[in-house]
Amino acid sequence: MRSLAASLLIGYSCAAGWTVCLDPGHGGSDPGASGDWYLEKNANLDVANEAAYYLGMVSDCEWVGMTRSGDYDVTLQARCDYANQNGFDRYMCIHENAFDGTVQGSETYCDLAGTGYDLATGVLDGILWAHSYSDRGVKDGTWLYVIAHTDMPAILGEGTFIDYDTSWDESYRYYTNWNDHEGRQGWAYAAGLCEHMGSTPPAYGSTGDVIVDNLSAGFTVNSPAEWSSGSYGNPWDGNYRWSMTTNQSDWARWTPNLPESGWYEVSVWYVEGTNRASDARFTVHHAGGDTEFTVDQTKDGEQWNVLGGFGFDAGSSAWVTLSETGVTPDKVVIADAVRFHMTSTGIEETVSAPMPGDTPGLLIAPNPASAFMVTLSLPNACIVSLDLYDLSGRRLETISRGFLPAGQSAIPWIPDRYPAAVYIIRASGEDWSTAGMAVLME
Amino acid sequence: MSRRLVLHPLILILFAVSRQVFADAMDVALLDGGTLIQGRDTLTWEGTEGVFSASDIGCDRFYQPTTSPNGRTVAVWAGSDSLDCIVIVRRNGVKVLGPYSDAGAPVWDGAGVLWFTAEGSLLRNCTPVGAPLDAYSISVSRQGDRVVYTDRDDRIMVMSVATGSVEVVSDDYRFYGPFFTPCGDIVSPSMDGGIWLFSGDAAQYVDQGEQPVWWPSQECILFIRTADDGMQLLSSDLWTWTPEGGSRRLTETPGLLETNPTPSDEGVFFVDAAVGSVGFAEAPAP
Repeated sequence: MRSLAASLLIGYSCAAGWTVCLDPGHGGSDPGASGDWYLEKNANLDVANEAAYYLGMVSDCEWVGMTRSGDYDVTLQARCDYANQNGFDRYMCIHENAFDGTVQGSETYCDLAGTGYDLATGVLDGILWAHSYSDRGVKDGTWLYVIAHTDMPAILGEGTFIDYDTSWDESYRYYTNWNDHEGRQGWAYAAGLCEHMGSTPPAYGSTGDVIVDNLSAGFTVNSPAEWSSGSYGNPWDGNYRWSMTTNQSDWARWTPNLPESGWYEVSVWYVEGTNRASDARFTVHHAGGDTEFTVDQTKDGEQWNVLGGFGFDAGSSAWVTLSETGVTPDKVVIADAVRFHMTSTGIEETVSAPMPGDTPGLLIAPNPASAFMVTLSLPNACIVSLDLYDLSGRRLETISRGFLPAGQSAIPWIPDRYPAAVYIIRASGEDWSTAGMAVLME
Repeated sequence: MSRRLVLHPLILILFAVSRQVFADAMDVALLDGGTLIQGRDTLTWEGTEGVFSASDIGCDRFYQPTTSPNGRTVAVWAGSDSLDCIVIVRRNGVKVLGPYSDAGAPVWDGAGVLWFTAEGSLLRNCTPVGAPLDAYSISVSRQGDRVVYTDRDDRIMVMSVATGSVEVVSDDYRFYGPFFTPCGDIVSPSMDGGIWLFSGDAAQYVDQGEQPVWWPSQECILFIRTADDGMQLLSSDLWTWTPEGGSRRLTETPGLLETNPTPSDEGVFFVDAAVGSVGFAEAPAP
C-alpha cells in the first residue's frame, strides 16, 4: 500500500478554493445561554452572519454554508449531516458561553490531535484580539457531538460569557453590538480560517463602518510641524499623531466620506498615557450642529470610545475635531482614528408604534430629540421599571418605577443632565423586558 | 411488531478482537454478507485484508461507504486538503480511483455502475457524462438516467444524464442529501427537521427525522429521529415510514444513540453515536 500512496501523489494539484460550513449554535426553541438583554442563539447567528460577510470578501472562499440563517430549530444531527453531505472543507460552530455571571473569557474546542487545532488556535487569537478578554485556551472538543460527528476538521468557539454581568453586562454588548462586538468576533472566525487555509484575511472594519485614521486622506491638522508621529502601544493602523498643548491653538480634524445619510455612532481611538490630557476636546460636526465632548486620554485607550450618536448627511459635510483650546497646558493630545458606525437599524426599531397585544410594546418619540415621551403598551396591569443605560451597558438611572394599567401609558423623559449621545431605555416587568434606543440631541 | 435490539454476532466477534477500531466507528456498510466499518481514517471488514488506512493513499479521512446492488463491493470516499480518492473495497482487496483534486461521494445505480463527481464533472464509470456538476453528494436513479443533488442554495435539483438539462424539484425548504427510491421518487431531509417525499409533481411531508434511507426488503423509508440539548445528543431511535402505514417506531433504546442506519434483509445495522460501536436491530415481523 505504501508504494500505491507514492504513485498516487504524483501529478497532484491543489484545489484553489475552499468551502466552510458555519454553524450558529442553538436556535428556535433552544435559546442556549442567556443574559439580561440577549439570548445566545441570537448572538451566535449575529456572529455567524458577520463571519459570512467577511468571508464573502475572500476570493479563495468558494462557498460559505450556514446550518441556519434564521431563528429556527436545527438538530445536532442535521447540522452534522448538512456539513458532511455537502463535503465542506472546514466546519466552525459558533457559541457563546455562560457560567454564573462572574466569569469572562474566550476559548475554542477541537480535536487537539487533528488539523482543527491550527484552526482553533487561529480563531482564538482573533477572538482575543476582538474582545481582549481572558485567554481560556484551546481545549479538547472530541466530546462535543458536532466535532465528533463532522467528517472534516471542525472547531467550536465559545466567544465570550454572555451571562457575565459583574463589571459590565455582556449580553448588553451583544444586544447593542457595542464597539462592533459581533462584527469583531465574526471577523475573528473569518480571519482565523483564512490564516489556517493560507488565504489573505479580509481587513477588519469593512462592515459598513467608516474609519478615518491619521494616515487617511480625510485627516488634516492645522500645521504638520506641530503634530509629531508616534507608534507607542497599540495605535489604530500602527501610527498616531501627537501634539503638546502648550500653545493651545493646534487642532486635528477627521472628515469622513459617508456612503449614505443616516444615524451614526461616533467613536474615537487613541493610545492612553500618563502624560496625556485628561480633558482633550473633541467636537462632532453633524447635521444638527456641533456637539463637544471632553475625553480623558490618560485612560481607556486602545479601544473605540463612543462619543455619541448623530445624524449625518451622505458625503463629506461632517467632521470631528480635536482641539487644544482650553485644554490643560503642557499635556499631550493624541490624534489617531475616528469611527462612524451606522446605527440606523437600531433606531428604526423604536419608531414602530406599539399595539395592544400579548406582549408589552415600547415607543420612544420623538426620536432623535432633546426630550422624549416613552409610551408603553401593556397587555396586563403590572409594576414596570423604566431604566436608562448608556451604550457601554452601564445603568444610569431609573426613570420611573411603579404600577401601570393595561393599555397605553406615556412617561416623559427630559434628560437635562446627560450629553448628546445614544441611550437605551429599557422597560421591564416581573417576567418580561423590552428596550429601545433614544438619540439625545443638544 | 418486534422491537428487539440485539448485537449482531459478527460484530461481537470483531469487537472482541478490535476494540480500538470500534471506538472510532462512524458508519457501516454491508460487504459480501458481512459488514464494513468506517472509522474516521480506517476501514475494517471481514476478509483477507481486514484493515485499510486513509494515510496509505495520502488521505486523512473516509466518508459514506456505499454498497453495490449485488452486495459484493463497497465504494468509499477518501480525502484530505490535498487530494480526494474513491476507494473500492471487495472482500479480498482494495482498488483506488484517483487521485482527484476534488471529488464527491460515490454512489451506485441499479445496474451496479459507479457514479461520483470529480473536478466539476459528473463521472459514470470514471467517464464524464451529462453537464458540469459541482455537487459533493449525489444520487442516481435506478436506470442511471437522472441525478439528484442539492445546489448551493440548498434546492433539490435533478439533472438528465442524456441531455444535461437541470430542473428545480423544490426550493420550498433548505434541503440536503436527497436520494432516489427504486421507483424514481425523491426523498430528502430538510434543515428544519422534516423529511419529504417527491413523487412526480407532488410533495408529501413524511415525518420529523434525519438520515432517511430506503429499506428495500421492507419497501419503506428508514430514518432516525434525534433529540439534543444543543451540545449533545440525548436520544436517537430508528423509525420506518410507508405511505399506507405512516411512521412506526423500530427501536426505543434510551441507552443507545442509533445513527447512520444501514438496512439489510434481516434488520438494520447502525452506529451507536455515544460510543462509536456498531449495533443491529432486527427487522419488524411482517
